[in-house]
Amino acid sequence: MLRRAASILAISALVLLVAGMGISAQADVIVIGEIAALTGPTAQQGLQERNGAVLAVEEINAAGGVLGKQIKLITYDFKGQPAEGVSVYRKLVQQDKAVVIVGTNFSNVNLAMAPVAEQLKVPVLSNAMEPAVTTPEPGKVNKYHFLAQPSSIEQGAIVARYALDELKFKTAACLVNKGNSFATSQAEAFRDYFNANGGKVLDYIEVPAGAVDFKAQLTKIKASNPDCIYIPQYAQEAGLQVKQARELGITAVVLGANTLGVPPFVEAAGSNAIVAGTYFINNVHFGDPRLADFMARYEKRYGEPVITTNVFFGYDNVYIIKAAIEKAGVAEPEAIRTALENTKDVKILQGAGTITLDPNTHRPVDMPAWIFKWEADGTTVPMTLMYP
Amino acid sequence: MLFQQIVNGISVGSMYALLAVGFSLVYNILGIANFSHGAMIALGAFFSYWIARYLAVPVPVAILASIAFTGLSSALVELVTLRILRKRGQGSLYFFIASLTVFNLVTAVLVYISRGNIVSYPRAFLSGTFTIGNLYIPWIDAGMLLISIVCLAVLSYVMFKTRFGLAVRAASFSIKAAQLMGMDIDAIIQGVFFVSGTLAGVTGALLGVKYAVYPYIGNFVYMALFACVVGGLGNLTGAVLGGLLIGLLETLVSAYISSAISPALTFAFLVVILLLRPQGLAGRATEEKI
Amino acid sequence: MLELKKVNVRYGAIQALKDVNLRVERQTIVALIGANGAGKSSLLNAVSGIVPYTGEISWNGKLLPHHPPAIVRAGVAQVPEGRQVFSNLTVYENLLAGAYVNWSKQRIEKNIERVFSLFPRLKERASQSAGTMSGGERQMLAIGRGLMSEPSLLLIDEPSLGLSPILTTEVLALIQQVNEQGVTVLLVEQNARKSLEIAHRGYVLQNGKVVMEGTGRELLNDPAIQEAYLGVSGCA
Repeated sequence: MLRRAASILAISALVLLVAGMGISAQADVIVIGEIAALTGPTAQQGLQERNGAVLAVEEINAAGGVLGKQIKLITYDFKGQPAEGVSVYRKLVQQDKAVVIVGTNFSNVNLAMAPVAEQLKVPVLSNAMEPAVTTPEPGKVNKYHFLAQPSSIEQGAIVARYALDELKFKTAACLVNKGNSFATSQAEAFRDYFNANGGKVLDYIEVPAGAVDFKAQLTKIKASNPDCIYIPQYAQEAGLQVKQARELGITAVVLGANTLGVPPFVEAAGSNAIVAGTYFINNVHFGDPRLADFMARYEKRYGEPVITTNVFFGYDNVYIIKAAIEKAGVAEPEAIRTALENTKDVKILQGAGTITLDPNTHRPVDMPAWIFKWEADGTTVPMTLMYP
Repeated sequence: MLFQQIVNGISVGSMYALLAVGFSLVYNILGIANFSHGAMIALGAFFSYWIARYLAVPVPVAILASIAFTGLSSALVELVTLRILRKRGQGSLYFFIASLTVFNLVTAVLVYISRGNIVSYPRAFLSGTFTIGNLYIPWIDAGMLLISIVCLAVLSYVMFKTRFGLAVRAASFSIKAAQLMGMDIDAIIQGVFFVSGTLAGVTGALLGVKYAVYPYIGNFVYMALFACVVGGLGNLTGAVLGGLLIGLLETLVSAYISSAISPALTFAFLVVILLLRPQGLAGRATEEKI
Repeated sequence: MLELKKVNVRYGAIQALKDVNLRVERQTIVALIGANGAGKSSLLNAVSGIVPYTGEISWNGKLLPHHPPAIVRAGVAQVPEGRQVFSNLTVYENLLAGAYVNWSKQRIEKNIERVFSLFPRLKERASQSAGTMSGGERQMLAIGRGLMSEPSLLLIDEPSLGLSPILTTEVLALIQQVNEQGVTVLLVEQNARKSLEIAHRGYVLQNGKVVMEGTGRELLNDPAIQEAYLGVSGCA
């Protein structure tokens, strides 16, 4: 029995070895790994992110590739589990011989991947906003992790500044999913900025992960009657929170994260009328004339419109990588890492159209984001582009 | 604010109560924690959503149709798992595992079909809020409370005034003695699964209206289990009380202690109950089942 | 006539009944005696269809099905020992449960009257939970409940279990009374002497086999029986 098990293992090892050699033998191809949420509650985002990346790869390959080589994109699902994210990162590096990885925009997943990336030394360009992903502690930077959008500190603070300066709010409450560092890191930044600049956060309430009933917490918030409520959760959770707040007769203005610009937010909240007046932050303004050409290309290629910002994550990340590989002059992980660290004025679609990374934090320098407002007719209106 | 919190707690608790009663029915007769109840909650939510969306019928009609569906699904689960295991003489652990498997299977299928999305009903049903003084009561919460009361009244009629109910109560004491009375135990167990499935279905559908429809909605089954334990396993009245109590406890802890710690405190409360009063708050000392 | 031909019952590796042949003539009382684990209860449960068996069991010339509801409908009811009354139900509900297979208002009322006249005590306690009753009362309830399906054959399991000698005599007298009303009785009883005294015939089971049979009187006078089951040698 044991002997049979051993021989099965030996054969599988052999098969893997041969398969591995097969891939590494394709030296004329540069393998970029992508990790995304292809299933689960955020699958729509993940699938569009992959579409965005595929579109960029197709464009680059059609134009002759990078350093004369074609790019091969391999995308894996992390199935909603940080552990699975780590596992597919290893697989991309060790089995598929990816030289660089893009993804994810889930802070919990990249927080789990970061220490492994430091060991395996293949860089990751992510959209995970939690600052600890690139700087695990002050003064220390994860050499192999990069962020390609404003961090949660910047995004939380931008929303707080907008609430104070533009909306003239004096008081606020935060309702935060404790199990999601995406939410907690933004909420902390919002709270700190709001309190430090003349406002007052009356309630800072953490809710357990997976909760669907927020009435108890909202009733408490209602009693302290703040001008606004900040709910930096994922779309559907935030939708339920807005719905329940309105059910309790709370009229305070709701502010949210870059997750609220999508239909699932409205669906979970129940109707356009319920979300009307909600503000959120986003890196991209879909109606920006600068993007019109891209939007049309995407829709033509996939037969569906751009719905989520993740399309831009996927697309821009591939172009940032392309620039890094060209700068490095060689498709090797370490060289790409160094080039990524010195990313400067690379053309992208998000923000104001370029990205520069800070070598000390591995995060963008001065990357702006839009503040949007949901209208009663179900459209989102860009209010202003704000710099951190 | 306290009164508003109590209203919030009761609205959650009434759903737990309805779930717990359905869970308890199967436990009473078989002494088994039936986790396929969770699958029925999720199916109830999705069936009624699909019917409302794709057949474009009014939401209450969709919910009624979905309840029938979940009842039948639950009976089917009994037929293809428990029945077979029982005829083979396999122990209750096997059924426990089978029911957990059904729960996970259904959840996984729903994750696949829905791509994990949270969805809401196309047309508003029991939406909005009415106020009494400064109490805000969403119509759905009031509706849920009313529907739970109606369901419990119908259930107690069935259990105490009908031949089927008599058989269920008899079999809950002793399956062997019930068989000696000429009761068809297979049919009775199947009937219990049907009734339990309808209760899970109505709760699932209403939870879907109240919150949203999502594949993991079946996880509410754990609250049913906790409510049963708190109220006293095998005690229908206890299940109702347990459900209300847990709903209130969760809400009040969230409101006055800390909402992030509320699940932890709920579990701690459960442990205390198990240690100090294993028969539950409403239960008498457990009688040995023969 | 109840007739068992080559009946075998197995529980896994244990054979509880081996090729048992047995007859109970109509309107008689037959006592089944034997030590614990001899297979007495298995035999009753086989007749009631709640344990699987091989072989043939017929009542009044017709093979009995293996399905408990059909067996009760065929007029064969079992009175399990008193702890098996539904203690979560009231006395009245227990009787209703006994009438499960012939659920018609008039018949239920008629049969309940009959049971109450046989056991007036039950009438007093009709709305009381069966769990609150004494051992003797439970035994009466068990027998009364067994009569509710209008059986022509009553299988009675250990009616004296947990009862005082006086109560045992009383309960056995009641069984005799039921028998005189035309009900055939197959009686399993640990008190072999008392049961053989009221029985027309008796069977002795040992390790799942019938080892002896005869009239009640013959068995009572048999020295081997006296020693093994009647405690004549002094170890009562």
